Amino acid sequence: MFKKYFPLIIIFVIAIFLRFYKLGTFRCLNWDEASFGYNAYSILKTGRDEYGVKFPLQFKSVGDYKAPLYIYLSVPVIKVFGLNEFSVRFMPAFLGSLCIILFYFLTKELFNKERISLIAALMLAISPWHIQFTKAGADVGVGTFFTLLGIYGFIKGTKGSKWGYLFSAIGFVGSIYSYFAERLFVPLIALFLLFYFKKEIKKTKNNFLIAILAGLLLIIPIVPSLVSGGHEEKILKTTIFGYHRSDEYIQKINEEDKSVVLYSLYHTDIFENGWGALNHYFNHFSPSFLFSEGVEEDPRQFIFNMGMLYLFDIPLILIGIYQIIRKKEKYLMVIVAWLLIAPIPAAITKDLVSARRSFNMIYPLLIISAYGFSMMIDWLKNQSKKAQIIFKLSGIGFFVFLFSYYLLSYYILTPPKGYAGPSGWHCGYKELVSYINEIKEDKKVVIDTTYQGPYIFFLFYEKYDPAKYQSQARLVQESENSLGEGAGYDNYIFKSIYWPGDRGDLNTIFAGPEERLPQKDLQKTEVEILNSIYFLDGKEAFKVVRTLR
Amino acid sequence: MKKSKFTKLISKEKNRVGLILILFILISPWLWVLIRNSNIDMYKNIKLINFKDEAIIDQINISRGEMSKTNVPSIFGRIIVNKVSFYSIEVTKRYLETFDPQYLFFNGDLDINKSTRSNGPLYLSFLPLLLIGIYSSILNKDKLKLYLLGIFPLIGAFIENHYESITRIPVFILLSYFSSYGLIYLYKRKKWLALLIVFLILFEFSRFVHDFLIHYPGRLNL
Repeated sequence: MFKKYFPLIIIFVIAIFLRFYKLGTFRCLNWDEASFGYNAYSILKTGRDEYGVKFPLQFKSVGDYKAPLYIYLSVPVIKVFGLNEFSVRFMPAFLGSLCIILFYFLTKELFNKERISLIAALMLAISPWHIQFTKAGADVGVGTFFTLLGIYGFIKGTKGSKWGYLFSAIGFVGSIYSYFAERLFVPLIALFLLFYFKKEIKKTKNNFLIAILAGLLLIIPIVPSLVSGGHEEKILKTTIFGYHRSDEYIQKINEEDKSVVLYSLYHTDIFENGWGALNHYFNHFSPSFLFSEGVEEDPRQFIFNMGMLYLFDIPLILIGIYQIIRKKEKYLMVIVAWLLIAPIPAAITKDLVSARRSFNMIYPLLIISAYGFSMMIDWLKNQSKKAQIIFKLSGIGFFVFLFSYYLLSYYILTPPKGYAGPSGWHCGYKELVSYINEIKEDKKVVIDTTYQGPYIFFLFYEKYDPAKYQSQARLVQESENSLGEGAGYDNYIFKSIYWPGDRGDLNTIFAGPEERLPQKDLQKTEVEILNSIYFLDGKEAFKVVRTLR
Repeated sequence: MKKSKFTKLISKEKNRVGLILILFILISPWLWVLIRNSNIDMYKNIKLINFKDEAIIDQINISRGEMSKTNVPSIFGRIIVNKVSFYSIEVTKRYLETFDPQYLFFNGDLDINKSTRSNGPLYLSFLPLLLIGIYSSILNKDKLKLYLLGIFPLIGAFIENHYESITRIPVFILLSYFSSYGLIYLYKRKKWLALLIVFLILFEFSRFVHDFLIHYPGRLNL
């Protein structure tokens, strides 16, 4: 047994290492991670979320709604390791590592070839795309494990496995509990699988019915939150369904068209949003996104000078597509459908491209790539020895270069490029909280909200008693479409600092960026400059000052 | 006798492909924009990426600066972060941009003189035909055209401006060829689907003409 799975065990160890190495330290905590962590801590201590809702199935935090499973799974981890970065990132890293094993067995089910399965598992273990979201506190890192389990279980079920469908039901329902994008992907892929395997399902209908029943039972608790106002708000905030074109734009179009017919033909809301969604959909198949640039606009998805896959995947995917079609592989349609359905959740959102919401693309792409690689090995066997050596050496050289470049980019070159802002890594808060705690005593403390979400970082790093916070929790939103800010607790006020007005608050500590606390306006007679906290690139993040009595 | 019929058939199909190719090129947005703005010197901004480009040198220096703060051996850094590797990355990016669906079918060149910005150089309805055309070329082992598909984007890959269109015209023509080939291939097998795609192409064409005549001049004058 050990001997049989030895290569897989090695690959699993590589996956674990790549996901757990410096897990808690190499990147600043972002506000989503902080809110996942603090809400899990709040559940652990009080059985309620930050707003005092008892065991909720959707968590409202920093004005956003979060799926529940990741938070609940993190509760025992936080119990063991305490509330810190490592605990928050543990579950995605752990389940992400387990994905490699699941992926191995799934690929084995699809092709029944050990070599392809091992290559696929190795490719997933070192995949930049997979590491990006499983080596961080991302709900997609949890959801993806359950989706993979769902698909694997289903394929097993169609082959007559007694537990296959049941695992599939648990997996699919688990992913619905884990991540919002899966709530669209899972029904679509499940529908496809139902339709495509209807003959096999007929043959195994008893197992299938038991699984359906189990799935329904498991999904019932979350149904109310799926039709709740919070869920609707999340959909409207993130998808094109909540996007409204500006009045100026519509007016301009009407003025230029001077015809209702032309407007109705080419410029209706549905048409333009639909066209936009098509554009977003196809962006996910762009070679720039996949191989060379990734998602440059979003620091949490971005890897400097890299796409979401390696460049060596290009020839492998091309060979793989050709060979899979040529050999008319049995599960060709499953791979194609998986790949075509995966970007749909991303296509209907407002972002041009999203590696997070289209995360399910990675599996079919790597299956194809692994298949291509395996075919290339077969092809190489028929070449002359000299050609084999040249090919192998250049291949290994290319791989080593790209993998080294990825590690360099991921660990060293990328972190200083996305350290602030709502989609960044929120650097500076840990140091700020630590410093403020040293000096605050009983003074009033005003923290600027330019970098967004300070309240959740103070709660997180202070390990503030959730029971005490729940009674003070108050969210301030500038508009319906904006995310909110926690207004404050105890002596803390979180708001946008307006120095000409705020400088009058005596014996108060202020922390904010230079724009909010301009050096030229900080008169020595009025304020004492206490400290500066810096981003990774040396730029000042926060200036901490105290107004004198 | 049989041979000559066969030859005739081949030449007939070739003629059809050629005719559709000409039609596809004639209705393609890139040609309309090119003709409309032919009075503008579109070549003046076409420059090769300089191996010693300041942006590339800056990136290398910043990256090496960041690496120097860590324990990474400098020799390792120099092997990976250098002019050759960063220049290659820039060229690869531009090469791959050629196949970017957003560029080809939705927005086109970043320069408003070379694209309407609400259409790509080709129509989205070409896409299924294009894929079918490439697929059938693979099946027919039409290697030359497949090689050309890999070679033509090289021209744009060495141009400084991202998504530059003039240097990618050969690619547009080749893609139009694959589309016309795909249309013939599809028409033989699924006539209704081919006709549906033709209808979609006509709709996209009308949408383009509408935008080109009514909205594009306004954007161009901004």
